[in-house]
Amino acid sequence: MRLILSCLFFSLISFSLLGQVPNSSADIDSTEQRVVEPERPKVPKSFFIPTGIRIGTDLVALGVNAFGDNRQRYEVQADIDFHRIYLIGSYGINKYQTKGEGFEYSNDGNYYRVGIEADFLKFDPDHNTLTFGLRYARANYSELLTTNLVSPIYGPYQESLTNEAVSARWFEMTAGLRVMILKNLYMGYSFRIQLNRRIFNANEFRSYDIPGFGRAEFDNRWTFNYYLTYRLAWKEKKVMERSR
Amino acid sequence: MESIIKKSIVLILIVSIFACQVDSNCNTLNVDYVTFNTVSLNANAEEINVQVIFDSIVSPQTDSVFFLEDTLQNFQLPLSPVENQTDFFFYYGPFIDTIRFTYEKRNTVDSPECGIDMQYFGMDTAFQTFDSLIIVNDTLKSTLNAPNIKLFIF
Repeated sequence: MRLILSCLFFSLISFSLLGQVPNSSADIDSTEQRVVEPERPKVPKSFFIPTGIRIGTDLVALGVNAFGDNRQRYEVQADIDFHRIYLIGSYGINKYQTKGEGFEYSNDGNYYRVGIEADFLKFDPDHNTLTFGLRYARANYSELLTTNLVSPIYGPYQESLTNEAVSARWFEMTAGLRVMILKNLYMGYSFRIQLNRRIFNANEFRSYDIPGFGRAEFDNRWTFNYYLTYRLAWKEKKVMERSR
Repeated sequence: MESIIKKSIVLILIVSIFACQVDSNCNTLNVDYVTFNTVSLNANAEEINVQVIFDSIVSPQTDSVFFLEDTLQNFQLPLSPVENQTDFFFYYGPFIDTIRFTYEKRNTVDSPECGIDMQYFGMDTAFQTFDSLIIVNDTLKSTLNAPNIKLFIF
């Protein structure tokens, strides 16, 4: 069910992204039936000087904090522009606890992601962005597992196990959209495919939950964030003009 | 530009299929029992299965009697999750044999609904009095076709 839902969900997002793609500016020469690409305007070097920093927070995390009982997560994200390439990073703190029959589990830690994003909206004067990107992510945390179980043969037993100084790393492919809703205030989502998760130093028991990643039993998974960001601009950002 | 976006979307779609994994459904391959197979050697020094009449098989770590006056060839004995070693006493005919197993345990939180899953691995014998014994598999799994232990009875 999860497989079907996730693939349907991603297909919907993909089609919506395709709908955002600007029309090709290529013309077709009707007499020779050849595609004639217009000459690409050269991007001035001054365009690559950063013009501002966008700082924001993940609204999904705040929603989970407000309406969920098990997790407290706060995340800030910042990006800085180099023309249509964005250097992006995020940092989050996470506490999680859960319990079930015969056990209690908790973890406490932080995580960060760094990467780049490429903006595919070339001519948008409001600096709305449709991006695809790559991230490296790492989490550092500790976790505690206490069990209180009964073996039908050997009787009751308790254990208290601690994984100190656990770390995990993974990679992400992202697709995101940011839209300006007020002057310099942007909202938008990031859809993340998290890949190739590795865990280090989980010696006492198998790690259960990774800050910024989620359930540790998965090597690969996807997740979704919705960001509210504010752009602190120190320079006017220029965009290429659409060729006539 | 448009083709780059399309290629990116196709790539992400393909990768997302690999990123979609099914939820856990409480199934586990881990078991808490050691499987035994009793064997002997024939005149050609070939292994043959033999049945042994055990008066009883017990552990000092529990009041339970695992087998009482049973004829056994393939059988299972549970390891203790309370400690990292379990002793077994085998009474058969005029003999009493002992095995002390040592092992590692690793807990995994399956889910709040499914609870804790425990894996036993690195099993070894700290002490044993049988004529001969071979550890075929030192990890306890339900998928293993071979027994964990071959007991040689002469």
